[in-house]
Amino acid sequence: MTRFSLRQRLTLLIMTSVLVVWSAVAVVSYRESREEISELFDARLEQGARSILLLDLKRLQHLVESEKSGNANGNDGGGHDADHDDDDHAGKLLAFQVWDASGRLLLRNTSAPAVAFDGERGFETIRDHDRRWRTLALWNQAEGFQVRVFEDAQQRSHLAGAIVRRMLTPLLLALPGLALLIWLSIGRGLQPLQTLSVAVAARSASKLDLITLQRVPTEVEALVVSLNALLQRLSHSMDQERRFTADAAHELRTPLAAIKVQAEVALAAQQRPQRDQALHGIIEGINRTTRLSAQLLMLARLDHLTPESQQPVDLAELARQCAARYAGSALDKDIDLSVSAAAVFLLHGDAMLLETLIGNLIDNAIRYTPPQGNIEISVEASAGHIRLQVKDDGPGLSEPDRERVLRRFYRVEGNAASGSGLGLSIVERIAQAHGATLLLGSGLHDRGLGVCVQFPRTV
Amino acid sequence: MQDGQAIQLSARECAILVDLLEHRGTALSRARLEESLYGWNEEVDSNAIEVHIHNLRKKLGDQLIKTIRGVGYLIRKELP
Repeated sequence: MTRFSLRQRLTLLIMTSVLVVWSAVAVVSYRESREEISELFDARLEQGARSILLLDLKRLQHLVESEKSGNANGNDGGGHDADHDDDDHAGKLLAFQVWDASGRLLLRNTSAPAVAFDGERGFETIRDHDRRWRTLALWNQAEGFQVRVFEDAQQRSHLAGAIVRRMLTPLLLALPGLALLIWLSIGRGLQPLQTLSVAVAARSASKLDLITLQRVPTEVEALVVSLNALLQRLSHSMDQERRFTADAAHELRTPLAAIKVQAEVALAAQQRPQRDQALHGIIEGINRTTRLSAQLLMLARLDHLTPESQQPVDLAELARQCAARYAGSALDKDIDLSVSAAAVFLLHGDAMLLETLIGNLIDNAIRYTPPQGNIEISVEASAGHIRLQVKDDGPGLSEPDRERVLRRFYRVEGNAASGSGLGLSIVERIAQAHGATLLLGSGLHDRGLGVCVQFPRTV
Repeated sequence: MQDGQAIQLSARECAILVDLLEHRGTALSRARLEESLYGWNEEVDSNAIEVHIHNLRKKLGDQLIKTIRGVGYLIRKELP
């Protein structure tokens, strides 16, 4: 199990998403601003060029001269201070060149780069050494000269960058605050999990009541529902365990009491035959108790069964083997026992448990069928199922009794035959462990009891 | 011995009778009897056991050896 904090993870994820989105926004804003600034600056450049065009050559000459003397120790570049403001440029003269029609440089002010004549008219971005310039060349048709104005192209990028920076700075400064808020919100959002874990921690083997939360978020609801299902199963099996222990203790008490009585009789007996009879009674009582405890153990083990020891088993062969074992006791009661299983019926199962199942059914049938009765065991297959049936023509069971006999320790009232009342419970549990269904119906010739165990075909 | 009369049994009939007597109260299948009688490799006539049982019943009376349909033959625990 690798441990991680949901809170940390969510905060990290959200913050990363925020940063990614903001970065994208910054890139887009930068591009948009540059475009806007470009349009604006181009317009300004054109305006500047046109105002220069209005002047004649003499005046321009004068302008260049006065700029040279006035700006002797001023900055000769222009536009390095984009970070300041653009009113910086307002008072400064636009960089320009003046060419005549034959391509001779007539004038150039100090800030203009020494780039060669270019006959083109219109906007252009050029590179002079390591500086980029935005230029516009316009002709003065009347005077026959061309004015070319220059503007530092870097200004635009700087300005766009500055705008985006100004926009982003407060956002970045708010980032830790945002992270803290997200951290706190997630903590609050995860509160129901905390509540749930407290509620689960309060459960114990003796206190398995269902978890009821007042407000359950949909995400946690599924967890609560399955937890409650688990609690229900747990409490059911705890109940079963408790009931089983109580019942078992009760069931064992009866034969033990009988043994005690027989022992007292044996002690008090004067004559040998009387004592022997009592001792035989003790042995019989002990046999019964032994069988009962073996069955109890089997049931307890079946309650915690995991079907791992399963392998292909021939149900027909198992039925024959079981019948062979019980054939003697059937004959002793003059009961006609027969098996009809015409083929091999393989199913996936635990051979020992299945033997117990068939054995219990045959044992029950022999026990409750009167002398000269009939018991028929059959194994047959239908689409998707293998059916094991044990039918007798004994007294059978009434409808309500058919349901009740499956309960542990239940024995039909007024029944003379000895038994623990556990046989069918064991049969049912083994059937369940093999995915089979147990059906109780009528037996031979519409009389007696017919038990049908229907296995799914697994091989 | 029946009514003090000696009864002649063949070796295989005798083997079957002993096997059944040794497992009184439990049915022995035909396959099981064949195995113990002939071993694994021998070719056995499919109704050889039936014939032996039939002969045994003729000699000993038909109450001793019981047939459990679909299972096999047995001699009950408490002899009548």
